[in-house]
Amino acid sequence: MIRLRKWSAVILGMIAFYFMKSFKKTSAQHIRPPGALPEDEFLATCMRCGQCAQVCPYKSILIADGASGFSIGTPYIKARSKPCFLCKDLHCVETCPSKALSHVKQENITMGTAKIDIDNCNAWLGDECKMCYLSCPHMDEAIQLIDYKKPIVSSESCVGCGICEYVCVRPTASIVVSAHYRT
Amino acid sequence: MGVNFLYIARLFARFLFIFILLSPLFGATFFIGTFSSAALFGQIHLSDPFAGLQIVLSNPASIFTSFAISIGIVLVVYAIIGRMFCSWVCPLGLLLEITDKLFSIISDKFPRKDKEGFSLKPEIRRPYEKAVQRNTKYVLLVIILVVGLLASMPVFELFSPMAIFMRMMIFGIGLELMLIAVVVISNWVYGSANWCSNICPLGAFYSILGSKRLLRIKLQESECVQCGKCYEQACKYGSWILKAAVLERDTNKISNECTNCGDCIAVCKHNALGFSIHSPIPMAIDPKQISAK
Repeated sequence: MIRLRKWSAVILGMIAFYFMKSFKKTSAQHIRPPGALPEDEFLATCMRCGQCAQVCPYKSILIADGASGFSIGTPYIKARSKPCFLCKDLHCVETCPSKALSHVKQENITMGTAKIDIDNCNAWLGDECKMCYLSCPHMDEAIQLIDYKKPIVSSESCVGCGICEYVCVRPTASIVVSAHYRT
Repeated sequence: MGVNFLYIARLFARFLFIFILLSPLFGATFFIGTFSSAALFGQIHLSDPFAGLQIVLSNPASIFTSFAISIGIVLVVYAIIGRMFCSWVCPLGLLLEITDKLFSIISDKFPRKDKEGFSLKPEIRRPYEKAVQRNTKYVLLVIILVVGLLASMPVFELFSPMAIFMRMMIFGIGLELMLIAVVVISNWVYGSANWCSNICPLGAFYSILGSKRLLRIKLQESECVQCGKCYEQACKYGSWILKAAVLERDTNKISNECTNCGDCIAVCKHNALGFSIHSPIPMAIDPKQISAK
């Protein structure tokens, strides 16, 4: 029994080491919910309570797990599986206790910027496809059409909600939202 | 001993709080969040004072009225009831209580053998009780606050097994399951309730908060026969909490690490222990003197 205890202490140490090592990985840049503070400040202020994920009417907000390093417990949005639909009340911002998500207006949201991979885009390859253009909440501002056909993103108007990435019909989305580096 | 009413009530409360915690999964909206911070009925916001303190240290700009109020309410409640969260609410505490029970059953089934091969008497599984070990949590508390201030990061919210366990139950299991396993195994290696009574900085913070608590366990010095059942068997958070009070017949010597769980009340056959409201202001006339006359 004593030997068993010693061994379990060794195993314990190894598990702890593995755990710490995974924490050392620099956290990937997540797309944060609307109104998030700059990333450093956000990590300092977010309480990791998960209220925003629970009040989201579309369940768009996910909570990061241990694999994402220091971002553990923080909310993020995975646009391809479910984007932010920019609901009118912005429940996540309203409920945030420490104001890591602070009050923003609907049009001032900056979660990220969409980027089109023109080698993979149906419209740019010559097919008829306007999915991203038509579903964009800021149509004709964030996503504009060249020659009434080819979509381009204007980075000033794009809020990074990710609906375009969600609706893209290509097997791998040809329009991808990446988080803003607001530092 | 018969039916242990307080123990059943405590277990019931624990399961009730877990049900409340998980209620958003069933579509209820009266409790949103975790025990780090929650919104009741979408109106009343409550935040854990320790998490709040870390946030304020890591980002001083985040202090504002509604956040301060949400912390303040809980702060006042904890100052009144002491470290009651640990034994009545904490979901990780429930998990550890169950696993500790399992481990003690296992070690009773397979008792330790001495050199000649005779099985020794099954030991009562207790947390380590030297002062060095039980002050670990205060050291950790200071380290966490200092590191949090320097790195501007709420450190304990990242690593806290309690917060991780709650998030795991609601948002799904990830790599952080390892940390829960570490805590459970360390409780097996270092004695039951080792995490709660020796390491958990949250408990340390609540102990400090509850040092002037109103709701207390009261020891009636005249009834106590010093049998030692309460501090040797019943109190699972360690014998030092009640030992000094019982041996010196002084109810004020009960440690502020007492979690008001009430296990000692149930085990006492002489009715020497009970809950009482401790008045912060010394009364002009001592009620004891009146009864003596």
